[in-house]
Amino acid sequence: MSNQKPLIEVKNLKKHFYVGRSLWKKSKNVLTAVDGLNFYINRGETFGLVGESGCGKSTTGRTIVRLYDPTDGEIIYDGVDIARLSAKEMMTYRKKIQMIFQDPYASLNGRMTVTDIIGEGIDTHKILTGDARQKRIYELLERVGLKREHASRYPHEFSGGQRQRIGIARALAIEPELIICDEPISALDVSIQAQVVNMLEDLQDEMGLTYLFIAHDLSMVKHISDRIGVMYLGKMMELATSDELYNNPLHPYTQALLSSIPVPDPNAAKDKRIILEGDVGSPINPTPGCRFASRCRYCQDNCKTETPKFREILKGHFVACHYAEKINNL
Amino acid sequence: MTNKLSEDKLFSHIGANQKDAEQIESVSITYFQDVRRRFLKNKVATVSLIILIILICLSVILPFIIDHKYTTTNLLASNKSPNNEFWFGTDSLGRDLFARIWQGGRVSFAVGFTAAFTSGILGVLMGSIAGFFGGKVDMLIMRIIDVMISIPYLIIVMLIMVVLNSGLTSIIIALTITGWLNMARLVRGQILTLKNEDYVLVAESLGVKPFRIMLRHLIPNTMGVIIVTLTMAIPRAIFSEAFLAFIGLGIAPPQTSWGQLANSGVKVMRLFPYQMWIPSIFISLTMLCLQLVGDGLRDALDPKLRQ
Repeated sequence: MSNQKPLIEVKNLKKHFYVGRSLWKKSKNVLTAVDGLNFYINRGETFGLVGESGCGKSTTGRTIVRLYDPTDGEIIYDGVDIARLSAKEMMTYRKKIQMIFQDPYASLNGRMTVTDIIGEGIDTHKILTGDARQKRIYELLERVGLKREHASRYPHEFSGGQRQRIGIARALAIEPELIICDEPISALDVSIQAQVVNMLEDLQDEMGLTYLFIAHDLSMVKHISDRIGVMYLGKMMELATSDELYNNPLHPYTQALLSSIPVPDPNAAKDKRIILEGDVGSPINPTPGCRFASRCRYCQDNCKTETPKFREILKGHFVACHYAEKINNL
Repeated sequence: MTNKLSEDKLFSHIGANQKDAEQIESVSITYFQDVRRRFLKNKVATVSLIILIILICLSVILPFIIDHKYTTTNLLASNKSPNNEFWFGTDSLGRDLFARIWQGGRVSFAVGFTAAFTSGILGVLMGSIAGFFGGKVDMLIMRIIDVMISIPYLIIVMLIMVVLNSGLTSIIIALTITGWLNMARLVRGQILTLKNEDYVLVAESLGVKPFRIMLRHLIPNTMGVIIVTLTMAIPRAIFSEAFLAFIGLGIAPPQTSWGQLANSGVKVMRLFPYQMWIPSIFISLTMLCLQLVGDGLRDALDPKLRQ
C-alpha cells in the first residue's frame, strides 16, 4: 500500500475564518477551524476522520472540494495541487470529487424533481442529454435501491433513508473518484444506517471509489475505514490504520475517545472509562502549545507552550504528543 | 361469542413483499398544486380573488362595448344622478361615470400591476445579488436602499413627475424606483439563509454557475415570499396612483383613473355625493380584495404548514 501513489494528499492544510466583522479592515479575531492537517488517501481506500463537534472535520471536507478557499497548505489530487486553482480550472476536478451531506432533509432542493436533482451534475458537466440522460438517472435510482417511478417525485415524498440514497445517486451521477461523506449516516435510524453503509461499501467495490468518511460514531467508522485520523480543535492528533488505532491508541485523547464506546458487558465497562475534565478550548486566537493540554491528564509544563510535532512513532502510526512513548511505555 | 367469531373474519394475513418496501402510494403533488389546494380552502380569499378577476375583466371588456364613450361630453346632461341611461350618473361635463369608472379601472389596474411587477423584478434582482454575493456588493446595495428609504417617497415621486412630465409611464417609473426597496430587503434576507443550505453547497461543489444557482435553487425557494410581497405591492401601487391623482400629480385628462375620479368627486361632494362615493367604493373594494388575496396566499405558501 505504502509504495502506491496516493489519490489525494493534504499537506499542512489550514482554514482560518475571521470572526466579528469590521467595515474597513480585517477583523483581528481568527478562528482556526483547520490548522495544519497532513494526511493522504490511497486509491480505493476509505479514510475515516473522527473528532467531536466543532473540531473542523466538516471544514476539512468542504475545503477539499473547494467550497472554502484554504488559507494555507496544499491539496494534491493525482499529482496536481488543487488548493489554488481558479474556478474554471477547478471544473475538471469538480467532476472527480463529490460530496454526500449529513442532513438528508436539507441537502435536496424541495422544488426540484428527483430527476432534476440527480441530473444536475450531468447537465452542468454536459455528460449526457435527452433520453440517455434519463436512462442514466433510472439506472442510478435502481442502483441505490429506488424505483424508476420515483424519478418524477419531489423530495418531501421520501423518507430520510430514501432521501439519503437520492443524495448518493446524485453524487454518483458524474462518476467521481473520490466521495467525501460528511456524516452521511448521523441523521438516520440505526437500521437505515447499516443499510446505507453497506450500500456505500458495495459501491466502493464495484466502482473503485475512494471515500473520505467523516463521522463521530466511532464503531461505524471502525467498521468502514481502512485508516482513521483523529482530530481535535483543528489539529490531527493521531493517525493509524483502523485496527492499530483501536487496539493500540497512543494519544491520550484517542484513548479517552475510545473508552467512551459503550461495551456490551456491564462488568468490563466501568473501570476502563476515562472521563475528560474541563471544556473544549476555544479555536479563536489559539496560543501555542498542545490543543489538548487543558484536558489532558498527562499534561506537563512544556505541553502548554510547545506545539507537539505530528510524528511517526510506529510504522504508519502518527501521533502529535510530546510524551506518547512515555505514556505508552514504548 | 358471535362477536368474537366475526372479528376473526375481519382480518386476514396478506403477507409481506420485500420488493414493495420502497413503494410510495400517495399521489405525487407539486408544491404549487399543494398551494392551490390550501388557497381554495380559504373561502374569504377565494371570493376576493373571484371579485378581483371580475373587476379586471369588466374594466378590460366594458369600455369596448358600452354606448357612452368616456370622453364624450354632453353639457345638457351634466351632473345627472344615477338613472336608467347613465347607471352611475354623469359628471359636471356630462360624461358618463359608468364608462369613466371602467376606463379608470383599466388605468388603475395597469399602473398597479405594471409598477408592482417592475419594482418586484428589480427588487428580486438587487436583493438576490446582494444576498448571494455578499461583501462589498451587499454593502453598497443595502446602503443605497437605506438612503432611499430614509427619503420620504412622495418627494422622490414628485421630483420624478416634475422631470418626466405627468403620464402613465412616468407614474410607473416613479413607483418602480420607490417600490423595489422592500422587496430587495426581504429577498436578500431569504437568500442569506438559503445560500448556506446543503443543496446549494452541493450545487457549488458540482461547479454550477452562480447565476444558475440563483435561478434554480435560491429564487424558486424564495417564491413564497416574493409572491406575497407582490400581491401586497399591487394594492400599494394602485393606492399610490390614486393618491397621486388625488393631489393632482396623476395622469393628464381626459384620461382618467379611480383616484382622479374621486378627486373630482370630492369637489362636488355636498351637491352630488355619488360622484365621490362610486369611485371610492371601487378603490376600497379592490384594495380589500387584494389584501385578502395576499393574506390567503401568505397562509397557503407558508412552508411551516407543509410537511
